Amino acid sequence: MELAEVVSEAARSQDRREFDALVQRYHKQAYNIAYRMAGNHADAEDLTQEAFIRAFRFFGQYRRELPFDSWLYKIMSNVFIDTLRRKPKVKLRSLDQPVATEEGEAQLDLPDSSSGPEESVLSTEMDVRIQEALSTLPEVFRMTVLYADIEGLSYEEIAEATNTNIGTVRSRLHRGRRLLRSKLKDLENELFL
Amino acid sequence: MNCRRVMNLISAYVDGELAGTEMLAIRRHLSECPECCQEYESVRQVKQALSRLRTVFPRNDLAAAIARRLDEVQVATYQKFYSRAIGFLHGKLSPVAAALAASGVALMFMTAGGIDGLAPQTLRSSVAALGQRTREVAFLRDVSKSQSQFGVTPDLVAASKRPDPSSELQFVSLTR
Repeated sequence: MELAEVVSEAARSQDRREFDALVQRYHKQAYNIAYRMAGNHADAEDLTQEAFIRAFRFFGQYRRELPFDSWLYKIMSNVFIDTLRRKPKVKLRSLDQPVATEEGEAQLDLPDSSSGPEESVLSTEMDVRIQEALSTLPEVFRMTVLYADIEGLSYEEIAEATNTNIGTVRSRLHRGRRLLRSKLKDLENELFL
Repeated sequence: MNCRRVMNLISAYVDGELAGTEMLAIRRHLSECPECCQEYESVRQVKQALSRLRTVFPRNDLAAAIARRLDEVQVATYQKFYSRAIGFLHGKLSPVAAALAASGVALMFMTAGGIDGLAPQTLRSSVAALGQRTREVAFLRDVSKSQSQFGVTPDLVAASKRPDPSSELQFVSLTR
């Protein structure tokens, strides 16, 4: 028993060091996708933390030859479905209300007319509107669209992360994008340049 | 290829996820069909808009907060042993065989020296979980057999064979 405990503890500290390095490397990326899934900072933080905790519990089963982020996304997808869908639907925010930003609260600005089509990042207002539209999608559609269009995962990787097959991924992506398009209809002149 | 088929495949076309022949067939159809071409533009624009969303950053101490929570995570000794065994065996055996072998090794470990430290309830759960795992494997074997008899796609079996770290049915998660 004592020897087993010593061996096990040594392995655990080794795992922990390795896992801490992975947390450092992937937590921002995980948080970004969690935010887009959850729609707000508080839930995104809970989702990120819970995904890492659950990943650590099963770290012994992680196959090192596979990308860690794909494995983490698989866990995060399940945590998201398990927890956030039981909560009330995301609150829709009026455009008159202040928006939480990295620097504190700010009022939404009209799109900057000086920004040309070469601008690679959307204005805050556009960002908020797309986030609102994303939040109205069914969870599985939302996850699939995010993994494809923000993380750039292949259909095979998305199927693995969401516990489904490639045909379902294809269908969810198509329906998810069409739903998004209909929600963003009034913004098409600004968004779809 | 008709419009209905093209509409269903348009997202995969935009994502470059189609095989060469399908891709060429859709490209040819789009050059002749304004309605499908409009759908293609629509999907492409949504994808482009999403890719232009800004990156959202967490608070500066999120990694530290995760580390603090990890400090509180207790993983039972036999569970660690099981996880490491299944991780090791994955490369050597099929997933189901690896799970069975790891379960057996973990049970041996528990009975040899690890039982003393376990609460009786935990032990009962573990043994029950091992039985559950065995039943799952037997079920999967039956499903696999019947699927191959009736020519059904083996997706269910393939999916079920993969270890799912978050599944509440997992042997390792029952003692949380």
